Amino acid sequence: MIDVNAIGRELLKKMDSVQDVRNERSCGRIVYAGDGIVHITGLRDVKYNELLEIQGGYHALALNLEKFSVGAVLLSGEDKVRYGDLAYSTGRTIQMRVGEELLGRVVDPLGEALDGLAALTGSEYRPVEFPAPSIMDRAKVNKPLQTGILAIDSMIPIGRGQRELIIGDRQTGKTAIAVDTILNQRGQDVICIYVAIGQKASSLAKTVNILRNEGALEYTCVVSSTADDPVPLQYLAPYSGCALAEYFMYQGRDVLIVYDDLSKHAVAYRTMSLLLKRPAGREAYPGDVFYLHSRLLERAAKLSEEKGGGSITAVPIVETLAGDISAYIPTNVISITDGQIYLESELFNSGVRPAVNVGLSVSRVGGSAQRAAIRQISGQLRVNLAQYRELAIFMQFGSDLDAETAKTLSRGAKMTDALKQRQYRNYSVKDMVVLLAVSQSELVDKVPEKRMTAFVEGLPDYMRVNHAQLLEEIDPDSKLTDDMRDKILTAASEYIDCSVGTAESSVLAPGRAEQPEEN
Amino acid sequence: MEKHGVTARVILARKPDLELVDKISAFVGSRGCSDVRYTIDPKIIGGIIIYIGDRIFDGSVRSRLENIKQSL
Amino acid sequence: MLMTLVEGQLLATPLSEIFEPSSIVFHLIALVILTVGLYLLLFRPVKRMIKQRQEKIRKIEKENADLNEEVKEMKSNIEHVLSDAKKEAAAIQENAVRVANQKADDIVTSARRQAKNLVERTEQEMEEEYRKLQENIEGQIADVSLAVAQKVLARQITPEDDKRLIEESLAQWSKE
Repeated sequence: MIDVNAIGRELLKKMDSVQDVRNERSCGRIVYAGDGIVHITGLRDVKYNELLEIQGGYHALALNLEKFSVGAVLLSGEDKVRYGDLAYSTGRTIQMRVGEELLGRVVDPLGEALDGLAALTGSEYRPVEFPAPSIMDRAKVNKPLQTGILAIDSMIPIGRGQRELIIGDRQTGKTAIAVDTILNQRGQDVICIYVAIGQKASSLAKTVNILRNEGALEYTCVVSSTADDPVPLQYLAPYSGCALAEYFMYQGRDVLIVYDDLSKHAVAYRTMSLLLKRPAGREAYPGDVFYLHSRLLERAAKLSEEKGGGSITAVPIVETLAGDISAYIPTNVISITDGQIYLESELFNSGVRPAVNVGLSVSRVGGSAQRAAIRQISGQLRVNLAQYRELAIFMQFGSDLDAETAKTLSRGAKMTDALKQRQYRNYSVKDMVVLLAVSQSELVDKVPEKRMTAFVEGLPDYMRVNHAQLLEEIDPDSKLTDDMRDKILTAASEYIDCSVGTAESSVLAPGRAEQPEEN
Repeated sequence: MEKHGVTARVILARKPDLELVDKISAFVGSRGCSDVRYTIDPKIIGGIIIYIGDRIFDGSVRSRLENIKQSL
Repeated sequence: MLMTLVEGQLLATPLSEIFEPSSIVFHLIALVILTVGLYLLLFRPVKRMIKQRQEKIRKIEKENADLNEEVKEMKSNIEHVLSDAKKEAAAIQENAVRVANQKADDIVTSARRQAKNLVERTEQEMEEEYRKLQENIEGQIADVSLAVAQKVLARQITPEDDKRLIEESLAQWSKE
């Protein structure tokens, strides 16, 4: 099975390629090694962020250039590097492997495969740190990025090239939204990059499995740094992911990159900074933690047509503690991004999933990229929901309601139900048009409140199977005509009759229905 | 970078003859060093290592072997 | 009073007197009075009562007939509704079946895809295992040969070789 000749050939080939004598190099000696940090004397012409090579084939990243020594973080060989070892400068910055072959793979922040599949052979690399596109190279965000989640696409639309933060406590479905968004990019010609920063290996494995099973890995690359990876790798992961995204963007492609999550990234950077003895600021984060994220997110852009028209849509995730969005990292990232999707554990626990708090969530640029039909019919949605919520709070303690108020309340509750959506159940744009049109019409009064969720879930399937023609006719990019709306409503009332309507009459019917049987 | 007055450190596997010492001095001189200190270290097997300031010129057999080992 | 009068007379008077014409008249008159009195006091109310009863019975009979009619109508109605419901149920079932079929198809395709992925992945993993094994062997060979080389070189390098090596290195560095 194992080809011995091939091994021999391979070895000889490698022998040939070995450089005989190393050229002159700049070197220094390690005078301190510990906690993944080394201090090196000498190395006087080293540059900031330069990759260092350490005797034994390990690598480090120079971060602190001081008068008598260089502080560097080790990327590998944390427990192998010893006092007195030589460190060489390489004159290179850290490079990330890029290329088409990375799609469908799980790689580490340096571009090495982690998924046990064929070795990556491409020779294209991009520097991990790269300047963001200049002002003139950018264009206005004008194409929507469909998340497939009704609550988001209707009220907090995301455009290609936008930076939209997902923020919320733990266990509020932040990753679920990101994963759903990736799954929804199938066939949309969007390349997805999922960057896991300091995550549990088990949860990352779960995410990768979902992506693989749903067939989303074909257009996705997972850049992984788990919680047990060296801190510098966790620090590098988002920049490497971004370098890969840039590779595709400058080819004129659309890229979606998810950073999951940036609070762990900030923690990793804080660890490094404290060990490097940089002065600590608020919450012990170093002074440049804002720049840490701003330079990363600034690289997300929509390029102008002259530059190929590619885009990077960044979806960073930030975890809050006990809903505190005024903590240091959340406020920083909120101010950098073009909007945020705020998830609340209270909503999540009361069954509103996705647990989007519509009041606090915004999208600052996505509105202009929203599909015309959706924009038209979801225009009132946010206001209606806000009114409902206000009324609901106001009426919480009141027992007797007049008919008008009761109706508004019931409609609001049904609207909220219509926005609930199970995980991995993405709606197409046309489904959304139908759902939005129906849930804001008078038809919902016919649906009992308890059956609303089932109704909303069943409607798209019913339309797809029985009214494919009608769905075909819906054009999401132009306004919905009254005629079209009527047609949709007729079809929906048909569905109400045959699902909800009969169910209701069968509850009332037994008294009548039993008689003929007795006779 | 101030190189004058810097001592170059030369590591060899065995004692050099006069001709070699001349050549080494000439090379080191061309890099701005006047003073040379020799160390004999059989561990490098063969070849030469020269340190000038924080520059390193590594032409030892040991480093060549290590080089090969790393790339295999 | 009349009776005691008559009985008194009967006891007191002889038989001839009993068939007295006047007494017969009296008797007749008494009979008439009795009949009229009875008719007025008893027969009329009873008759009325019977009439009312009859009417009631007729009414009930009529109601019964009406009800029967209604029941018949309801029956036919129910049959109608039932058949409608059956039709509707059939339509719903058809719809449901279509939706379910669609779903089933979706599930089957996704399962197929997963199975295919699994097979592909396993194949890739096997290949990768081979590759790793091969690499491992390569590494072992390289390690051993280098160790041998080191041993041999340490003994075999002559001072001349060493000198040549050093000169070569110096020459290369001088060129830069």
